[in-house]
Amino acid sequence: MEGRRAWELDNVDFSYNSAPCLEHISLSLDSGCFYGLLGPNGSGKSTLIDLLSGYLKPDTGAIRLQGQSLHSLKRSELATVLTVVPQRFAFNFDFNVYETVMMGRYPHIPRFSSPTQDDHLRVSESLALLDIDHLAQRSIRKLSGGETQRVMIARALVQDTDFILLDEVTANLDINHAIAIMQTMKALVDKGKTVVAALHDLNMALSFCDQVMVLDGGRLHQHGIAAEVINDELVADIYQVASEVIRVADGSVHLSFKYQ
Amino acid sequence: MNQSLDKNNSSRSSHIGSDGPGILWLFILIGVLGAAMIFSAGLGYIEISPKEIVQIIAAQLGRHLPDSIDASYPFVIMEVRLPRIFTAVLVGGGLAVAGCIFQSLLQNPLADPYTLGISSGAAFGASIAILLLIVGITLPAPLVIPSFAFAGALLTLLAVFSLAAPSTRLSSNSLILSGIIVSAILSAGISLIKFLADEQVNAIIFWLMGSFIGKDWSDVLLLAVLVMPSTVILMLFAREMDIMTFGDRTSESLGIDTGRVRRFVLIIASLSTSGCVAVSGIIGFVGLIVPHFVRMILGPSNRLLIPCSFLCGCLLLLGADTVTRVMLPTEIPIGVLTALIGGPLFCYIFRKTQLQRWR
Repeated sequence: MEGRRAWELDNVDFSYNSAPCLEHISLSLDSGCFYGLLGPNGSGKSTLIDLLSGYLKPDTGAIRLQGQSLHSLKRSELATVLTVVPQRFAFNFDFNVYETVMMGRYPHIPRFSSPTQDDHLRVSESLALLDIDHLAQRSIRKLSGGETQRVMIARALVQDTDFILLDEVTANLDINHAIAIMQTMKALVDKGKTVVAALHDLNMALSFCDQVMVLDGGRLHQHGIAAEVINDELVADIYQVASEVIRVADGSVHLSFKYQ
Repeated sequence: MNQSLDKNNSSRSSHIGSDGPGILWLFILIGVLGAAMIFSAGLGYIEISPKEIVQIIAAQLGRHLPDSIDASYPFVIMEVRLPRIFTAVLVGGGLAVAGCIFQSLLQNPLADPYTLGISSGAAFGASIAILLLIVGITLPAPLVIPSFAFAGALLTLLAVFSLAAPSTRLSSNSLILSGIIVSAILSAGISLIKFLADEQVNAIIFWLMGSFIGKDWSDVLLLAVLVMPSTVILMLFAREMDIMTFGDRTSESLGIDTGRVRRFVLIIASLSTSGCVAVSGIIGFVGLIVPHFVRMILGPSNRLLIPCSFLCGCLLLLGADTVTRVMLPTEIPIGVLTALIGGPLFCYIFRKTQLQRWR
């Protein structure tokens, strides 16, 4: 899979009610890579995720996934190759955690069929992986923010797609769960899957992402290898905050922010 | 209360698809409904035993009618009571199923079949028909009022959908708002018609209150044709509706074309509702309360919720209609009775959900 094109965006523009939100975005993303999508609040990260998932159509420009126009694909076909964990969900009814995660198998279960043994196995594995198996029978409306977030990630994992889009999924999580999820995603990438994650935490991006795309004011500010793009200059430029790059003994790089 | 809710959650089937206990519920409900219908048919000014009722029905199917049965009984059962009972049952079931659908698809547990203004549309149509009859314009069709009501409901649906259309996914908020606006305009229209009807306004008021009095087999046929197929079609969309309660992004990432499914399913549910309103007038609260109670017991999965709500809706309106027909000294309009019972119940549920939210 490595080296093959995942998404290609040609000069994509998008606006909400004629207020421009993303302008002139041209990108090409490879398969088998972990991409971080960075940028301040309102820079267009969620909108770009919506465009990459096909939820929104660009005003102008083209988006292709594996060489095919995203909007020429049927929703049901797309669901077998691409999944999204959005930032927000509606929880109006008391589905339990198990039922909710099982919904991720929907694209693979034909109408009039019941989930197979394999479907149940995948759900159980996914619950265990995200450390929510003890919540299986709990109503999703009685979970904490971090727990619901993990349920929705589990739902996306059982969908078993090659392309995974995550919109700020670690924002509600405790640091141990956030790291666990990023490690899980990294392991999936190592197996050939492609992950694009909108992130706030620059150190998380430095630790896990192969490449990062930085958005600022609806434009692509920078795109490249994580360790090359994320530095004190970028932080000062985008967030107007002073910081220092620290090289740790194992060769990894971290950012330390100055709070004064 | 918390504990009892948790118990409900764990006792209900944990896996989508393994609905063993749910199927049992279905059979129990079907049995209870059958028995209740026969029991209700025996009640009234002339009391007829369940055994005699079964014999009368068997006689319709070609069996010999025992001589011990009074000659007037078959008429009472077949032409008076059973059409009314079937009407009540089908309207109850139809409204309850439509309620489930509206609540799931509008992602709003407090929606009901009338949220999109179908009842106001039907009432407006019926009021026009009644006004025309009052001023002496006789229309050729035999079912003038139901036809007008049905047309009114469909036109309202069309208006609400086109008003909400600019939001390509037909978002629930824009649909609910459009429903409210169109309803408000139609309510003013109904008031105007009532004013024009002057002293004969009673006919309109009685229609609006809902009733099963004088229903015959043609009403039952109209309902059966609309309610039964739509219930079956809606059951086919149970999985999609479950997923769609989680919001459009989640549903679309699972491959559901939310705009198309929402439009199609709402139209089917609305057709069924329109039929119910056209035949029996406006009967409130069934579509709101029944799905709520069934959800509390069986959980929110539409696969079971839809058929069980159907059967519970049947039972509820059959019960209410039997009470008003048999037990009360004068017949209270069924819409008034369901609102009087349903209203306080609704207050109770509303209060309970509010408390849960703040806990």
